[in-house]
Amino acid sequence: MSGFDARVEARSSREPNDPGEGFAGQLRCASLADLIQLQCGNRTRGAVSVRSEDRDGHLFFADGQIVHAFTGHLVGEDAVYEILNWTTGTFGHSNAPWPSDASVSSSWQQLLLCAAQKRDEEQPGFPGASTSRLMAVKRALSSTPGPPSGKLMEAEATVSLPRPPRKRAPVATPTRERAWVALAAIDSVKAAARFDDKGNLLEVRGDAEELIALAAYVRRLADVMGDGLGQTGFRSFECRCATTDLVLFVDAPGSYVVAETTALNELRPLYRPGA
Amino acid sequence: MPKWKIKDLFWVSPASEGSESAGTALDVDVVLDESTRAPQVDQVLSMLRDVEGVVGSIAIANAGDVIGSDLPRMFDSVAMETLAMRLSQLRAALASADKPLKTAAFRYENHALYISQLNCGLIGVLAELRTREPALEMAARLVGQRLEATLERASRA
Repeated sequence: MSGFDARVEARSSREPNDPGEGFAGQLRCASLADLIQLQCGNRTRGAVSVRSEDRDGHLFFADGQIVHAFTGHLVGEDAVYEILNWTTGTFGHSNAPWPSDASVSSSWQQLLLCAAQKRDEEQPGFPGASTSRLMAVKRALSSTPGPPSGKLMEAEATVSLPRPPRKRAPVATPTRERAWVALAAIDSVKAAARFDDKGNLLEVRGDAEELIALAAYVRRLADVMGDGLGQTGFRSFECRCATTDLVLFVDAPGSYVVAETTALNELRPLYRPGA
Repeated sequence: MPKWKIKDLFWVSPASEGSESAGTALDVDVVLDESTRAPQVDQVLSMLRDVEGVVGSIAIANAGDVIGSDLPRMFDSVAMETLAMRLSQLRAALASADKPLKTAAFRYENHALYISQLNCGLIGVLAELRTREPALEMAARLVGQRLEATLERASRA
């Protein structure tokens, strides 16, 4: 299936024995990635419980980010990646206690991107995050009904709006291309550029003129040094310099991104998932 | 247009350019002959192989000469000298773009080449991708200190 049709299956909302307020409903074809984007976009503070088959997990949102997650014996970002791997299930309000410390430090954009990359690499046939099916049932996972989450309801309502079908990316161009898009959300990037195998500039952000020339030269050096060392398949170049850091990586086949940043670690999920 | 000129793509002593390593006791390019560069330096470099996944390493003087090597035998002297020249060019290119190198890493399909800046030159470490980078970083720092001490002793002798 390409894209998703986030239509509400207007199941009559309230369960007879449900003492809580609000209503229950199902969202077919909404994805966890959408839920995360909405919760973070709304800067919701709250916890969402996700159940898939016999597994359940909990995602905690605050200040527009995921701050904590756990499922089974996994906690933190590993738990986020595990939950994002689930293709079918239900989600709703979570009554899990709020953590004393945050266990997730990466931004939600980085987490989604990294999860997508992990799937691409581990399961080539895995449908994209936007196509995963989730059945959202309000408070369905909570044995003890909690207070209604207005923000979550708002999120569900937003998801229910019809959307144009999304075009799936061709297999030959993996989701790494999204790295360029994701760079825009990273404040530490001072300048960036995207260029092809021949050194032709494809896109530029900030004052990247010098960066492009340097990157083209480093790219060439990577090949000749790789040849000498018996290495093929250049993936990335990282350089910690005195004031700023430099990174050059393969964005898609024949396409490279170079960026100057003050926080190299923030960019790593874009090209080194799991690092 | 880039600020550097073609000459910058070849090694220019950092001392003459006032790079961050200027002012240290080992600013002067260490140029050792075959007899002095071999066993001690190679022995120090071999410590890096204590880190799991490290294949081998090479030490390069500021002038671009190979100080020592612990790379597998498949890399002959020509290959090492070529690598040394390329690494020097990398450092020069970065320096001329106002980005003096501290550490760097080239990652390929199966291995990575990690580079650490020393006062007396560079260390290049070829390692598998699974290598734990913090451990390698610490090992490279210790090896760098030892290497500098070894070279200092050699230059005094």
